[in-house]
Parts: sequence; structure tokens; C-alpha cells
Amino acid sequence: MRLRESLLSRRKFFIGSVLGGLSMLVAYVLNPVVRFLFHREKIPLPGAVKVAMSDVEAIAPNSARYFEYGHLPGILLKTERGELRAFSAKCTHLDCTVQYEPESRKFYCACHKGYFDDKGVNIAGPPPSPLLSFGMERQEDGMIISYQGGRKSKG
Amino acid sequence: MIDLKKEINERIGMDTILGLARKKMVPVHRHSVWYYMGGMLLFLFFIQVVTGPLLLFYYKPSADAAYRSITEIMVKIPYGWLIRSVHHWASNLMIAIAFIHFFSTFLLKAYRRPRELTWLTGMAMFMVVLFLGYSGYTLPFDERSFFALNVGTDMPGTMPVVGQYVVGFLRGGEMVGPQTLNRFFALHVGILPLCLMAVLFVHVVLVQVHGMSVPLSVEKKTALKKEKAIAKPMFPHLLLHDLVNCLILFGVLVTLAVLIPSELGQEIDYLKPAPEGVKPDWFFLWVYQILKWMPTYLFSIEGEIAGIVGLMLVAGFITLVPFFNRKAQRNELSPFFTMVGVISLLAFLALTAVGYFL
Repeated sequence: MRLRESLLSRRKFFIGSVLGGLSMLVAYVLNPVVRFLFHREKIPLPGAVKVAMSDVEAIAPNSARYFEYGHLPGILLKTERGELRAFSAKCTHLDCTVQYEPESRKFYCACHKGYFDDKGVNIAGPPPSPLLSFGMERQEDGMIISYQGGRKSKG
Repeated sequence: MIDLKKEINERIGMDTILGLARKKMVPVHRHSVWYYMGGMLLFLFFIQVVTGPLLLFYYKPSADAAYRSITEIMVKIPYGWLIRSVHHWASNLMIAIAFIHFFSTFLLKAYRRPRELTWLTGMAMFMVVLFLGYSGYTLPFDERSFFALNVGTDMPGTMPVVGQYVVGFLRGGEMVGPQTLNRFFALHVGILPLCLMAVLFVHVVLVQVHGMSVPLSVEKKTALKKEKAIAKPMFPHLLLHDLVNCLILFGVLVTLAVLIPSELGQEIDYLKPAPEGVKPDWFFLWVYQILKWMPTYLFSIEGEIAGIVGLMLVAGFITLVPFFNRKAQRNELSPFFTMVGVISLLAFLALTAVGYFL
């Protein structure tokens, strides 16, 4: 069936083409800009790091020291009995760095008063999950601390 | 139902602005094509204001990281090459159109009463734009940047009395070194753009206050024929013209950026000699060529000093031309100044070509 008159006036068609073209142009401009801005550098965590035996031995019982696990701060705890435990020092709430409180034997996050027990389990305050814990292997010259041997905190 | 148009109008007086724009007429004659240069420059400045901060997301302004960060922008960050190349080409086009804008206003004597201030602000912006172009190509901190910094920051030293202070200020020390990069970075992304914006505002307001200048020859012809001067309303006619120009310009810009991406030279090695055939960017080739041709001594003045002082006198004369050109101030034709303009234009083109090809 042929229509007697067009549903679209010439003016509407023209304005539509211009606006359509312009919006395509805007999309073409925005695509590179957005892709450029939202580029994320993926820095993989190392498979394992080594903490020198002298550093490990320097830790007094019921205290902890920090170590670097790639770009992640790690914390190495020596319990009263001399047992070693390694965790990520990043609080699972909002990524602040936790500290060990020898008096209460807890990890404490000062940002929003979050507490984890000495096994890294969240026990008080806002943290939703336990600290990420690392696996450990004793070698002659140091402790090998690895992500794989540990327990995931989130998800 | 909210009438959005009415609500907005009530708050910002859109109707008044549009009414004024509709009433505002722009003269139409055989030279009116030169009126478009200002709008194009404004558009390119806008492009720079957008792409510049984008580059700052990844550029690291320190001597040991700058070169690598530009390499990353070019090869690693998605579309980094495109954004840097657009920034590079927009600056080149901006300078080229600024030269056209400058020569056309000079030749058409658009600086005559009452537009002296418009001319002076324009000259100030022209110099800022040239300095922006220069400081921009020092930022990759590659070999070319290094020698450009050495030569460029050495030249003001020939000025009497203040010369050495200016050199020290620009270099941040005796020699060009890591600290110089930070100074040029601060100039390029902070101080110069702010200066440009401030003067630009005054310039644009003055252009609106005085309206477009009509060349004397056109004014006289219409007076002679007792015709009414032809004019078009600024809105929407001129605005649409400007938009189309910008669209075409944008096409040219992106095409250049894609086909000829901006380059990155060798990394700086302070112990390496200047590479063969090292030259400034095209917009300073004329200065380079003059300095190259200068004899060691010119009338018992050191050639370099004679050249630079000469260039400064020329720049001073051109900047103050509205006050020298008495005839134009009385609305009379001034063929002498037209000749000065034509000779300067030809000399600029010839020196640039010689500098480029030889």
C-alpha cells in the first residue's frame, strides 16, 4: 500500500539525520576517551615471597612485623607459643592496614574499629570477612610465604 | 507538567541572550572569510583543554619518568597514541591558524581605532600560544626536547641586564637539567593556560563590544556606491558557519592524528652530542634560519645579540603598530603598512621553507 503522504516531513528527516550523525560523532569521540581513562594496570601478586630467617627470629613472641607481599602489605605474627602465622594486613572492610595488639591478642584496624582474632577471623566491628591468610614453608635461610597455600578471605 | 524551557529562561535569561545574538549583525563582504579564524582558534583551544588533562592522567612530570610515561601513553594505554597525537596536531593547527589570524588582521588593519586593545590582547595571546607550543615539546624530555631547552633557554641570555635572570628562572639553575622539566611542566599546564584564558576572555568581550572590523577598502567602496552594507545575523547564521568550520577542522585534526601520529625521539643522554639536523618546530624555523644566517659580528655587535635584539624590535614594532599607523587611525588607506605586512608574510614563508628544506 502506498501512503498518500509521508509520515516524516522533510524537516524532521533532515533534523533527524543531522542529530543522528552528531550523536554518532559524539560516540566516536567518547569511546577512545573512556577507554583511555578506564585503563587499569594489572599488577599480579607474586607467587611467593621470602622473609629472611634473621627477620623472623627477631620477632618477639606475641608480636608481629610487616612484610611486603608485592604491592600488598603483609603481617607476620609470632604467637606466644612461637607459632608463625602470615596474613595480608589489609582490612577486609575498607582496605586500611591493620595492626597487632599484643594485650588483647587481636588484629585491630584503627580506621573503623574492626577486630580480628589471632587467626585472622573477623570478630568485632565492621569487617565482613577474615583477613587473607598466607601459606608458609620453612627453609634454611627464610620463610617462604605464598598466596596459594593460604585461605581466601573474600568470596 | 514542567515547562523546562520557561524554567531555564527564568533563571538564566536565555531569551535576552538569544535576542541580543539575533540582533547582532556580522558584516558580509569579500574579506569576511578571515572572520572565521577566531572561532576556529577557540575550538582548538577547547580541544587542548580537554586532551591536555587527559594526558595528565598518565604523564609523569619528572626527568627520570617523563620519557617512559610518554612511551606508555603511545604503546600501552588504550587510545593514548590518538589522544597525544590529537593534542600535538591541535597545537600545530592552533599556531598555524593563529599566524593566519595575525597576518589577516594586520593586513586588513583591523587594529584601527577603537580596536587597539583587541589587537594588543591578541598579540599577547599569540606569544602565549607560541610559548605553549614550545614548552609542550620539551615535556617528553627526549633528545629533541633537551636541545630545544638548551637553545631556547639560552636565547633570553642575550638581553641586556635582565637576560641572565630570565635564563636562571627558566632553567632553575645554571644548566638545563631535571629541574628545568618541572618548570616547563608548571608553565605548560598551569601558568600559561591560565594567562591565555584570562586574556582570551578580555579579547572575546572586546570583539563583542566593538563588533567585527570592516576593512577600509570595503567601507570606502560601499560609501562610494551609496549602498547599504550587507550583514547577516550572528545567530543562527554565523554560529552555524562556525560549527561547520569546526566540524571540518575536527575531521582534518583527527585525520592528521591518525595518519601522522606524534613522534618520540631518543632518550636523553647528557653525554651525547646534538644529533645531525636537529631543528626547532616549524613555527620557530624562521627565527632559527635568521640566527643561522647571522654573521659572527654585525657592525661590531655579536651576531647572536644583533639577531635577537633585531627580532625583539620587530616584535615590539608589530605589537605597537596601531599607534604607529597614523593613517589607519584617521581611516585613511595606508599602503606602506600593507607593504610591511606583505613583506613580513613573504619573509616568514620563505625563511620557514628554507629552514625546513635546507
